[in-house]
Amino acid sequence: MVRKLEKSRYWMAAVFTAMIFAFGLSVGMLAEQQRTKYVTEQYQEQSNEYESLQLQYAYLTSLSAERENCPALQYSLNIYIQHLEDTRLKLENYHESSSQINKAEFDTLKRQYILAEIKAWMFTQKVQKSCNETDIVTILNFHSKDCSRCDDEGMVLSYFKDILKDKLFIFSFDMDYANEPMVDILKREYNITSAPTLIIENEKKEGFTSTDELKEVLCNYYKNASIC
Amino acid sequence: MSAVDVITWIIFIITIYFAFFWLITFLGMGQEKKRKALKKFPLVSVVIPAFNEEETITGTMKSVVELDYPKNKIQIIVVNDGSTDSTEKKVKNFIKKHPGRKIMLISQKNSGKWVCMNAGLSIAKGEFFACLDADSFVERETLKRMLPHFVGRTAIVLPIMKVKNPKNMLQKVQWYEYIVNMFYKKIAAYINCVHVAPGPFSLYRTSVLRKVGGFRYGYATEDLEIAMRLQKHNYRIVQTMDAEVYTIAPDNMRELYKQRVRWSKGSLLNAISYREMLFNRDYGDFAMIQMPLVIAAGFISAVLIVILLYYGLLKPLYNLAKNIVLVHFDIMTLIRNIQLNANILDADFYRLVIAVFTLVITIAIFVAAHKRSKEKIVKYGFFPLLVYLFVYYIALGLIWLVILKDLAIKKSRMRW
Repeated sequence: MVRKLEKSRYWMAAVFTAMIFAFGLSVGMLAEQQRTKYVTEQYQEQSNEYESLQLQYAYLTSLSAERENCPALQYSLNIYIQHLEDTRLKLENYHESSSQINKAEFDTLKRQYILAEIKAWMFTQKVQKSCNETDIVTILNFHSKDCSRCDDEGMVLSYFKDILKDKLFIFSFDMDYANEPMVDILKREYNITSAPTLIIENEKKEGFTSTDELKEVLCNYYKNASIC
Repeated sequence: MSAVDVITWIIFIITIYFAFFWLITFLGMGQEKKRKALKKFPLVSVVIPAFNEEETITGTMKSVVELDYPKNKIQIIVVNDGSTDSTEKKVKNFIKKHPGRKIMLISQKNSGKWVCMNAGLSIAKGEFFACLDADSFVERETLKRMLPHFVGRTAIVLPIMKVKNPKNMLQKVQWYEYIVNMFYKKIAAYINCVHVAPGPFSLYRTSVLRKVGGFRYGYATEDLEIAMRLQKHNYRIVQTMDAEVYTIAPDNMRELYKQRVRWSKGSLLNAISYREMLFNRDYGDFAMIQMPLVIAAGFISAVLIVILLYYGLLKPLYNLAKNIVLVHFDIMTLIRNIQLNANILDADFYRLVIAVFTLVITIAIFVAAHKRSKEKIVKYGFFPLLVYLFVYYIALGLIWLVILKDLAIKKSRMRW
């Protein structure tokens, strides 16, 4: 005795399953396009921001090299850095959930971000030089993908950023990012060989720097910060 | 994609395939045909195996005596499985009070439910044989509504099993669960894929039962074993939706856990022992869809639960704890700076589509199940319903995890 087996039912279930996944995939791809568009717009805004900042800087310095302009300069810098930070968060979120399809686009954005970051760092140094009594510290954070303590280092850094806010500027670089020669130049200049490595002003700290260690170094630079 | 991603996707695909298969089957079912009313009343033997059931045994017997069926056409056989309480006394009292009825009491030393049922089977005179757990109660119309379904190769007719007077949360959750499970069994029965004939009032054709050799131990789940064995002999198992039987569901986690461990282990081990049917086309849909489902269900739930627990609970908690230690327990700064960076574009749309689809199917099944069993949708409250939909299956998945771990280290011993 042979029992009933309605093959069409099995095929239909397979077709419907494929359809649902295809639908999910296309919605995902559509969202991906929207994301890339959105992030690209963000970067366009970002570069306008930077041009505006440079103009502000030129204008302020050309008027007078006096100290009165420093607060205004610092204010502009803070706005710029804040925008940079927002873009970084967005970039990270999208990169995590993006599939292979838009990898090339994301790489371009990442490179643009790194450039914007380096510009910001250079700009910060200019501000520090122009304004004698700045209470600003910059940290360069070199990390890499397969580095066990880099996430922890990031956590420590963002903790201090949360406390010190616009008194602390952190610029993070992926030390394995080979597409951008500027990263290589920085690596050579500071002789970076491993991750995590921090450059606090001009002081180099290799390996994981804990909350206590970082606090000690930072307190050498701040005249009156709440953490010291 | 990581290995975990691949496993998750494979499980998603399998699960959605099964869902579609049953959905398509359901849509092809149509409305139930009206069965003709009974013209003659065959003799039915009702076997009630009882082990320490003093609280419910009288009610169970009473429900059988009160069946809307000719008195002389029902033979009741109570098998006392070495009870240490007053079960035997209660049965004797009941017999005394109902002198005109065919009620027998067999007492044996404690040896398991399947032995009780075989003892009942050996002296059963009925053309049909019903098993009734001593904590279950039939409705007046039940038997009359079940018998007309015995046509052709039908060996078992199943009533719709519902939870008796659900009082606490756990029982109310099980109320919803039973309704949905019965509906699923109804769909499965449409393509003869039922793999279990539960203790509460499954009705067998006695001659078939004797021909295949009665009941077996079946890893303490003789109800699964007999159903799979009858499937192997190409008999038909029918699920009714209008013949009701009420059973007492566990009212505490410990009892529920014990029951589910027994059920889950039983379904997996019995399916494995009948594995020669698996993907064997001669056994039709039962071999192609139900056997794989019964075998895969446990593994799928266990893997999903591991992934859910690790990524949804353990990993975030570990990260949180690590971060708190990193900043020397300055929790206030962490809290103050939590940024909600929510953006609609951040959502993972691919997974979202699958999740929405699953939810829609679940709700559709829930509504259809209530419609078919003619019950109100939120009969026992909205909160138990939410628990059932979103928490209950996680708990059942955990049970599977324990079972698979036990089976893997082969330390477990089955008990009744």
